[in-house]
Amino acid sequence: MALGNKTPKHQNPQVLQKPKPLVDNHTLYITFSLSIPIDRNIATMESRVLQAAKKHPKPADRSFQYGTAGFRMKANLLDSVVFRVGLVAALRSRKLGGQTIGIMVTASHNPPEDNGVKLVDPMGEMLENSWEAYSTELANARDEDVWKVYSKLEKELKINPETPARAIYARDTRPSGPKLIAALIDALVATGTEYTDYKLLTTPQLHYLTRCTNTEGTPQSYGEISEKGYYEKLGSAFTRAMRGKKTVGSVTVDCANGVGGPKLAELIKYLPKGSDGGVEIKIINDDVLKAEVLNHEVR
Amino acid sequence: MKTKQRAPPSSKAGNNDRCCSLDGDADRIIYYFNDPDHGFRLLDGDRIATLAASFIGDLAREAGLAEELKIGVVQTAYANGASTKYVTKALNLPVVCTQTGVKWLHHAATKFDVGVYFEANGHGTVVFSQQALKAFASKEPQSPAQANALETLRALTDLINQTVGDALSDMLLVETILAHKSWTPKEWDLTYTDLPNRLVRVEVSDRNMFKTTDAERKLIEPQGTQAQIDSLVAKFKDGRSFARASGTEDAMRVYAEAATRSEADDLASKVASLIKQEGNIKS
Repeated sequence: MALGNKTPKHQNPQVLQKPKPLVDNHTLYITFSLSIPIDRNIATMESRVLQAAKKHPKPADRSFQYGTAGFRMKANLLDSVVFRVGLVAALRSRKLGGQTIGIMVTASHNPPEDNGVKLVDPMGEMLENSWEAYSTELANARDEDVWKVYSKLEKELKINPETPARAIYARDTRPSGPKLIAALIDALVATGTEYTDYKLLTTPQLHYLTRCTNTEGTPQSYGEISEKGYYEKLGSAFTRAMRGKKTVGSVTVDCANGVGGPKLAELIKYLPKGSDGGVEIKIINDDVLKAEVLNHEVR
Repeated sequence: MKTKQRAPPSSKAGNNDRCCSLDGDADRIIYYFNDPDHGFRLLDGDRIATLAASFIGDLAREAGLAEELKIGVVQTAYANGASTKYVTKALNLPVVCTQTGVKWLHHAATKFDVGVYFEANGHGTVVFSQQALKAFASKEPQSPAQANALETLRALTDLINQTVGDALSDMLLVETILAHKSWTPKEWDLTYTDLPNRLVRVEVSDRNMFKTTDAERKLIEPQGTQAQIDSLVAKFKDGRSFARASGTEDAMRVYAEAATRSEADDLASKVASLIKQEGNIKS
């Protein structure tokens, strides 16, 4: 008898993960939807989590703290932290009845060799305060105690492990991003969490998508669940707000060679031109391929 | 760039051209321009907040909703005192001060029907309550001007990212407001004059001996220190100063502002010496 070995029919992940439209042929703009089989077998979750935790060992004599900006430090210290943040996302989603949690891998304005990770609550808000402490606790557990702390939190917070867990995630342009995302995926797979990879996004775009995902089909629906939906919403709102008004001259936007560059270039396609009652935007410092120039002279 | 107070070296913008900078993940934005008379001028988060509050306040009045909607601005202790004065005196809107950290600002902003918050570093947004959204949607306009104001307000609720500070959305907000007001960055800059200020770092033996209250603006420990800061501040015109512990190291950060540059520097160094004395690294 495999307790919990069956995935209820109405929670078929294939149905929940809609294909995301391609916004542009350029690889930077493509969002993928991964539909991997979700193993929600609770009986084997412990061994899955422990095995995965071994792949992402915590650096000895390091302690971590979830602060206002999540976890943030040198990228080479973050592997175990990101893995464990994935575990927290699973717990948080289950605690909230299967609502989707957002995970953003970014270190914002920090130097290129840094990275960071933060969690986004269902309405697109920052992680609830009390959960910062749970994240810190799990991040600091010894590798062999990861499951002990995980299941302790599960029990203390009265989380039903059979509740589905859902997450979406994205990253900024830092070279360390893809490796950290791999650690995150290991945690999501180990905990039977359904997930969608939105690849490269700005942090606020991921917040937008998290809220859209959780409000879809409700009176509070926040918008179409796609990167394109974000541009269309802003483009349409800007056109309406500018009705009958004109900008003078242009605005020069320094994108700090970060993810804002390509995303602004995409947004511009949805905005009226300066001559049509919109705005003329000149982008500078939008080189996302040379990692070392990220945030150069920005701080 | 904010700390260096100059334009990024690669900028080729001319005098009075609008410029802005995003950070690495595009959740923060600051504007700046080159003033032919005064050189590089920074338009930071405080300026974006005051611009947004002034615009939305005007629209709410034009739409006949100023009475029924509570509009307010949320700042931290680092907001320039001149911006606080501008919001409360010129815009006649309430200001709430919270401890630093965007989540605290966001939370406080949701207590208003229209809550405007920005940290000085350019991270912020405007949040609208359900009641505000309902009012914008259902209010019957009494004139074409009212209809216009309501339509602009509705557009703003979609333009502004309600979840978190968003550099792209905030940029379009600023561009919209400047177009509506027919303002150049210079006119925006002239709405009020920042008080000169100074931030000083003071090493202490143990930062945990300093405890603050009132949105980190007042020290409750060590006892008596706040009274001494107060008496120093009282000697300066438009003086304001506070000391709070660094989040990462055994150091205190002292902020001071006053009517003139030399007075701000003087106040900062006096409060810094006091903190140094209190937090004395005893051998």
